Formats: sequence, C-alpha cells, structure tokens
Amino acid sequence: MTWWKAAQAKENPAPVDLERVGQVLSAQGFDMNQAADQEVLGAHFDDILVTFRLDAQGRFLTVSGTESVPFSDPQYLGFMAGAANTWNTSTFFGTAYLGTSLGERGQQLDLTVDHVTDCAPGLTTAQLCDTLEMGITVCVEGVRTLLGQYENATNPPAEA
Amino acid sequence: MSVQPLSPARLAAALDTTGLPYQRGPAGEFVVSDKHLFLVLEGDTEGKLQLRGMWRAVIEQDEDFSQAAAMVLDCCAHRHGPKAYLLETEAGHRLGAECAAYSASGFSTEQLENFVQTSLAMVAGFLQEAQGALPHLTPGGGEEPANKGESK
Repeated sequence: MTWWKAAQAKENPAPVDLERVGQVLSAQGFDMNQAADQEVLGAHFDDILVTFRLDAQGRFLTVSGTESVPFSDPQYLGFMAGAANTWNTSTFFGTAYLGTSLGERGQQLDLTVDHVTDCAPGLTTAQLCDTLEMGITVCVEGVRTLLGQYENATNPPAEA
Repeated sequence: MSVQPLSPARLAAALDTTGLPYQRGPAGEFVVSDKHLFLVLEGDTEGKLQLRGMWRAVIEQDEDFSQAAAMVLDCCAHRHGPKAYLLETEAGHRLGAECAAYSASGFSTEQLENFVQTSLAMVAGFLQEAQGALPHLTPGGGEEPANKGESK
C-alpha cells in the first residue's frame, strides 16, 4: 500500500494549491520546473510537455499536455479537428483540442489535451495523487495519439 | 467530512439536491430528460463518475455543422468544462457534452454534490447555448445517449 492510500482513511478533503501539487509530484518522484510567474509547474513526460496550473480562484486544477507541429498546410486542420473530436468521443478522461501559435519556425499547430479537476470542496492526498497521475497519463497518451494522426496525414506510409 | 465509496443511494441523494426529476435507466443510471436534452449520471467504485448529456437535435446541414464544430472547439479550448463533441449518427451529427471525475478514492458528500451540481450546470448550459445558437434545429429523436464504453 502506498503512503497516500494509507493516509486516506483518516484524511478529510483540504484546499489545493500549487505548493501542494508540487509536493505530491515530488513525492511521486517527478522532477518539476516552476515557471517564473510561480503559477505553473511543468515537466516533460516521454518528451511531451505537461503543465499543472490552478485558475485564479484556485478552483480548477488543469493538467495539460501540448505538442506543436508545423502548420504549413491548412488542409490538415479539418482532419486534425476530426482526430481531436474522435479522441473526445472515445475516451472517458481528457479533452483534446487544437490551437495555432507562432513558433520559432513559423506558424504551428498546437495539439493539446487537458485533464481538469474541480477542487472547490478540496481534495484528499489520495484524490490529488489519483487525479495528477490520471492527468499525466491521459495528456501524454492523448497528445501521442494526435501526433500519430498528424504524422500519418502528412507522411502517409508508402503503398506496398 | 470524510470520503466514502460511491453508491447508487449516494448518487441519488446528490441528484436530489438539484430538485430535478429523474428516472433510472436499464443499467441503473440516472436519467434527466426533457424535450431538448438527455442527461445521464452514472458512476462506480472503480474509477468512473460521469455526467453526460446530448442535445436531441440532429445536425444535417454543413453550415449548422460548422457552427456547432466552432462551439465545440471554443468550449474545449477555453472552458474548464464540459468536454464537448459531435457524435456521428445515421441521421446526422449530434452535439454531446460531459464531465467526469476519477472515483476510485471515493468522495465526500460535499464533493459529490458539487460534482453533480457543477456538471449539470456545465453540460446543460453548453447544450442550451447550442440550442440558442441554432434555434431552427428541432429535437429529432428519443434514444438515450450511448454509453461511450470502457473508461480509460
């Protein structure tokens, strides 16, 4: 039994802040970076950037995975929107969506998967561990799925 | 207030706090429905607590689909919830939305009531916005939104 499971029975839900999130992630062995504004934690998991942030009211905890790909041909936008929608209809956790941004190499398509938890009534340590673990897993898997769809669309395998 | 495992009785009690009338579905799920929307609440002790909803209108025209797709993208990208999507059916597309929480660690009564009330507001609110944005689309069918199968 892991330490947070052992603590669960006696623990009541408590408010969530970024310091607590960082403590839980550190206890799970993850080496996190904190942004200069102190409002976002982040780390790479399997080369996917995953961030952890709370909204201004401290209510919604968002775990977010993002990967950006070149966006040179708008014809792929509809295809990728369909891929994100398919992810959203076929999975229980995680919300996939697309965005565009300007990167070092020009216009890019941002492939993002979010896992949001409502922390209004607080979370126990076990619940916080569970949702962070779920968020990391879902975000990395979701972004990898979208990346695979993008690569298949832009570099279709040669026919035998 | 300590956390306890989910149970049908606890889900019913949480749903009672909304004052909405509901029925039980064939799998024991809780169903709230009216002329325009289906809402389904279900959960287990292994990891799944979900409130999902679907607008009864069928989206057939390209212009309507584009507008609905734009609403879905805006919702997914800019809101904390719900997760919105378009489901393809034989008749056309339908707009759906859902909120979910991991249930294996259990919930306090306050957490459960907060989930039900917040999710209802998010899901029904989004679907009612769609209804307002596409008022010419009328309810097209009566079946309950499909269970999306295995949780991840």
